Amino acid sequence: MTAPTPEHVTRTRLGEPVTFLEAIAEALWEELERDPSVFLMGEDIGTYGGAFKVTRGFLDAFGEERIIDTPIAEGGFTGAAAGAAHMGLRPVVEMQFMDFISPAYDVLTNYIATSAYRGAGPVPLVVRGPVGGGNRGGPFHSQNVEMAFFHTPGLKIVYPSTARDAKGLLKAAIRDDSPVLFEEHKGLYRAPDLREVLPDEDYVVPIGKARTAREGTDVTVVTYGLMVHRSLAAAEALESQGVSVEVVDLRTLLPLDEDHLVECLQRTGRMLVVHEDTRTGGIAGEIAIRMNERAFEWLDAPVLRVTAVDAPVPYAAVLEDAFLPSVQDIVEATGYLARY
Amino acid sequence: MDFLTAFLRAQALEALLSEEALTRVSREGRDAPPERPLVPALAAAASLRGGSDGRGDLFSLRVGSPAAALAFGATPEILLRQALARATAPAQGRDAGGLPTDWERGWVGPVPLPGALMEVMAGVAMAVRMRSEPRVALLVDDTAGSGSGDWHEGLNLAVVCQAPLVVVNHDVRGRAADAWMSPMRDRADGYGFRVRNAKDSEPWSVLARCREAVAAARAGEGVQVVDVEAVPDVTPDQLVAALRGEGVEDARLTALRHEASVEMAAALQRVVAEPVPDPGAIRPATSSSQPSQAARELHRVRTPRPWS
Repeated sequence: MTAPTPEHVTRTRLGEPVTFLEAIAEALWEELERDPSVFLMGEDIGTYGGAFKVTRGFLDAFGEERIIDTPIAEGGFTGAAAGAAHMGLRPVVEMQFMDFISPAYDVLTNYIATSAYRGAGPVPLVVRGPVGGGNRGGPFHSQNVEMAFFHTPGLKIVYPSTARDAKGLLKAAIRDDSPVLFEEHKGLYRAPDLREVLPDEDYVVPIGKARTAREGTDVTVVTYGLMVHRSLAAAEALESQGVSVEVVDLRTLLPLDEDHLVECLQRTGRMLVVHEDTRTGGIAGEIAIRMNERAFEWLDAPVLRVTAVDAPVPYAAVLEDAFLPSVQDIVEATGYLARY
Repeated sequence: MDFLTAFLRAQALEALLSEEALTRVSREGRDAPPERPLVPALAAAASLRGGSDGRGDLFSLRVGSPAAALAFGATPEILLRQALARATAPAQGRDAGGLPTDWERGWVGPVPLPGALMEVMAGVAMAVRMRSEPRVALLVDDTAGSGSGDWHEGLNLAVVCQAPLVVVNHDVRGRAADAWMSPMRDRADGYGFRVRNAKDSEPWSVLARCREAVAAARAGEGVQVVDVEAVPDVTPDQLVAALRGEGVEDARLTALRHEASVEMAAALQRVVAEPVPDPGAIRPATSSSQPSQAARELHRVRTPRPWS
C-alpha cells in the first residue's frame, strides 16, 4: 500500500480520541487490511469518499477492485454483493442513506435472508449506512429502517450508540457468517461528546449482547442508538428527583438479548422502552410482549414506550422536534412508571 | 457424453419430474408445468466446464429444465430428492429449488425472483473477475424476467464491471407477460453486451452460440447474451431428429432411449424410498432469537399455559 493513510483512520493508532464516524472508518480500514476478501461497494464511496466521508481516501489505498463505486441501484448491488459473498468474499455494502434500502428489500428478505436456510449457503455480508432524524433531512433522509427487517428470520440487525461499540460491532458484523444490517445514527457521527479513546488492539463486540449503560434500581429504560444518550440525560435529571434509573443499550436488535432484559426487569419491576422509530410495529411492542410472556409476575407496572409519532419524518424544525422523542418525554414517562 | 444422449437423459428425467413431483409433494390440484425450455438450458449446461473440482464454471437456471443440470454434473438422484422434498435432499425439504446450490460443483440454485437471481449471478461473475479466475457464470433465463427493475440492475452492473457473465435467454415473447419485452438484440447496444441469436428448434446452433458466448466471456470480453427464439409447435421428436442427424441408426437411438429411461426410473425408485423430513427438523434461520435453556425453563415455570 503506497497511498497515504487518511487522517481519520489513524487516531486510535496515535492514542487520540475518535468520533463515532471515525470509529466506523477505522473498523472498515482495519478489516480491509486484515482480510483480503473484504471489499466495499456503494454509491459514491470511492472517488467522492462517501456522502459522509466515511471512506475518504480508501480508494487510493485499496484500489477500485475493493472500493467499488456502484450505479444508483440498491437492489442490484446488494444482490451482487450476495453473489460475491457466496463466492467467499465479504462485501460491505453502504447505503448512502438507509432510507434507500427499500429497493433492496426484495433481495434482502427473499434471497439473502433465506439462503442459509434453503441450503444455498451463507451470505456473509454487511449492509451499513446512516439512519435517523434530527438533521432536518425530511422524509427521505431521516428514517429508521430496523423494523422493516426485524420480522425477517435470517438477518441480524445491529444499532450501536458509542464509538467503541460501533467499531467493535462493525468488525464482528464483517466477520459474521450471517447477513447483518448495521445502522449508524447520523446524529452520533460527529457528536463531540462521543469522542473516546479506543483500545489500540483488534477487538470485537459480540453481536446479540445488550449492555447496561447505567445502573439503577427503580425503572429500567431499554433503548438503542441516539436514544441511549437522551435516556441517559433523562436518568441524570431523574436522579435529582430521587428516582434511580437503569439504562440498557440493546446494541443488537436481532437477535434480541431477551435474557438481559428479563434480568433487568426482575430487579426493577418497571420497564420503559424508548426508540426513535415510529410507534406502530416498533420494537417496543415486541419487547413488551416478551416481558409479558416471561416476567409477568415481576411487573409492578405496565411496560410503556416513548417513540416517534406515527408519521413520516417531517422537515420543519418545529415539526421534527415534536415528532422525535425528547429527554423531557422520557423523564415524564419514567417518572410516571416510578410512581405507579 | 454426446449431446443427443444428454438430451435423452434429460428428457427422461423431465418426464418423471413433471409427473412424480406433482403427485408426491402434495401439489395435487395444480396444473402441470408448461413444456420446459430444455434446449437452451441443456445447451447452456453443455457449454460449460464442470465444477466438480471447485474451479469450474458456475451455472444457474432461473427457468428451464432442472434436468438439463445433468449435463453439468448433477445426478438424477440429487434432482429428484430436491423435487420430492426428501430429508436427504440438499435443501432437506426446506425449498424445492430444482437445482440445489453446491458451490463446489458450481451449481447456483434458482429462486423464482428473476431480478434477484440476475443480481446474484452478476455478483458471482464480479467475484470471479476480482480474483482473475478463468471461470464463467451462466444464467438461463427468459424474457419474462427482463421486465423487472432488479433484472436490469443486475445485468447493468455486470456490464459496467465487465464481469464474465453469460445469459442464455429463452425468448418466449409469445406469452402474455413477455409480449411487452423487446428482443435482446434491440437492447444490446444500450447495455453494452454482445448478443448471439439462435432458434430452439435448432439445438446444434444453440449449443454453438452458447459455446461462443462462454469462450468470449472467458476471454475477458464481458457480458454475453445468447437469445434463443422459441419456435412454436416444435415437437420433441423433431428435436431428437435434429440432434440425431445422419449418424445414429434407429437401433442405437432406441437403445439410448431405453438406457435413459431405465436409469431415471431406477433413480426414482431409490429416492422415493428415502425418508421425508421430520417435522422436528424445522430449525430457525441462523439469527433467530432463541431463549436460553434457563429462559425456557423460566418461561415454563413462570408463565402458565392455560391453553395447554
